[in-house]
Amino acid sequence: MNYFCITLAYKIQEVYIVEEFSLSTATWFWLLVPMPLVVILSIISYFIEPKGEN
Amino acid sequence: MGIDTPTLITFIIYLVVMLAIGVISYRLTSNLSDYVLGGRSLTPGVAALSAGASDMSGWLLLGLPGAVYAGGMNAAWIGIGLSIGAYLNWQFVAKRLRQYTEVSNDSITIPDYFENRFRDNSKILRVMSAIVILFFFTVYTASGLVGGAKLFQSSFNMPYTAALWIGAAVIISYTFLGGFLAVSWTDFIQGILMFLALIIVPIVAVNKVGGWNETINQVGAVDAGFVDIMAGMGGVTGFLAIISSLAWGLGYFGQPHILTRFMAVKSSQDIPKARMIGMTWMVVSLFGAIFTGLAGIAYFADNPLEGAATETVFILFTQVLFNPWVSGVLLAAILAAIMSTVDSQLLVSSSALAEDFYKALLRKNASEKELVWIGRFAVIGIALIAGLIASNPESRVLELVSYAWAGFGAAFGPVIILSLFWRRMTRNSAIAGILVGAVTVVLWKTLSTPPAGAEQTEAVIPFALYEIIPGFILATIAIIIVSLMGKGPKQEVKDEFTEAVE
Repeated sequence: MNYFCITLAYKIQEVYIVEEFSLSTATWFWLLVPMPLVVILSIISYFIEPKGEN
Repeated sequence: MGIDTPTLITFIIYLVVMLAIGVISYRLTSNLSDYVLGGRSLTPGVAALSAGASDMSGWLLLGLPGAVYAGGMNAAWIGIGLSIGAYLNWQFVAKRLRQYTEVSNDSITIPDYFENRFRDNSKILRVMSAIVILFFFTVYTASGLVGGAKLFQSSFNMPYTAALWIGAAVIISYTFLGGFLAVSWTDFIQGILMFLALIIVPIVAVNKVGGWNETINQVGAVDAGFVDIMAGMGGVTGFLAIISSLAWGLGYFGQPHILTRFMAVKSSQDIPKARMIGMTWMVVSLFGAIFTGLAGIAYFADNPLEGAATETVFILFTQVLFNPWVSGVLLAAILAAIMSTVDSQLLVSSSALAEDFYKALLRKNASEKELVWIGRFAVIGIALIAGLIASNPESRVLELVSYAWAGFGAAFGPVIILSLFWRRMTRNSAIAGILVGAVTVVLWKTLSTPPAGAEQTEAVIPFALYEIIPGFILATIAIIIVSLMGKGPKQEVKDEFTEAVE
């Protein structure tokens, strides 16, 4: 019985220690694709747009 | 929150600098074009940051971090929609509008542009759009004044009414004196202040919690859904919620206080540089606001903020993480965000009164000096009306911000875009577009709002969809149909179109 209780306690502790959270894949995608993309497009267009017109 | 000397001194220095800019700009302002458009002399950096600062308001430092704090990552959808909308506005509207407004009889306001673009001698288009501007901006300005007053009130334990009028007096003073130049330069400085605050606060906060992984771990421990942008977004309701958030980006095409920044850039050649600076500023600031909210979930996990207090997460961070001098600067950044929007809206409203009512309807031969002074007194008059609306802190003006954003986006957005890209567009279709856009927003909002305490399904429109979507779509359809039904524009209008865009 003691052995069972100790094992159970270790298991519970393990669950609490092991459970870690991170941003979901969808979150990373929506954060790292559209918003940085508009900055990159702005930088690219700054360099490729023809100069000298008004 | 109690008053402390370093914070107060920092606040006063900030306000004195703003007033000094007003006085310097006063000396550089000699005619109405200088007063409402700065004589089209803005450099790319000033145009970009002043457009961003006047666009974002207190929402960037209070509203967005508060929404992420209260609801987790799915509050980030609006930020995504706004950055895409702002980019498209810079990419497709800015340059053409800058060129067209100069070619088209040197138009200095949006109503002025509409009248010149469509050769509308009846003044209907000018007056109608000026009425839309005055109505929505007076309410919009009032909401900004409420935000500023609440910040003063909570920072310095000041009575609400005194806080309201002190904030209003400073904004009126520099806008009254320096007009567009003062507003653009103060917005530029305010934009830098906001940018720095939104970088420093989340970095220090995440570090204090124990680093990025630890912060996300603690956020997930509070609510596993907070780390997932798709949490609670399933089914038709979730889809409509995402679409509604992204649709905020449509609003950019019709915001007069942002469009006038495009018109005021020194040269259309400067637009690409301004776009690059403006978009970098905006995206970094949005990330800063989102991560401030996330860090807040972890940092305040033991004593969570509730209700309206969730929007004070940025203010609380400035107080608990920094010494009073830095805290004063960071609090000034919040005031900067609010002031930079209010001053721009006051100025656009003032130009609507001076140029679109006084000069167009009452005194066609008014001198430039007379018009500048009419513009200055209009600033005081509109600010007083907005102050009176804001004098009741419990008034529901804050709720009208999304309404005003949708109103401008739907009423002016399709007209602006099609007028810049479609040669065949006619005056009558512009009138139809403004009317259909504005009326649809008002009707949709009214019909989709359920009775107090009732469920959404009990409203006439039983689902929640941001009113800008039907407004924008129907206004676009109205413009196309009315244009194609009527006689095409005169040859001189078509020639001017060619000159402006080619």
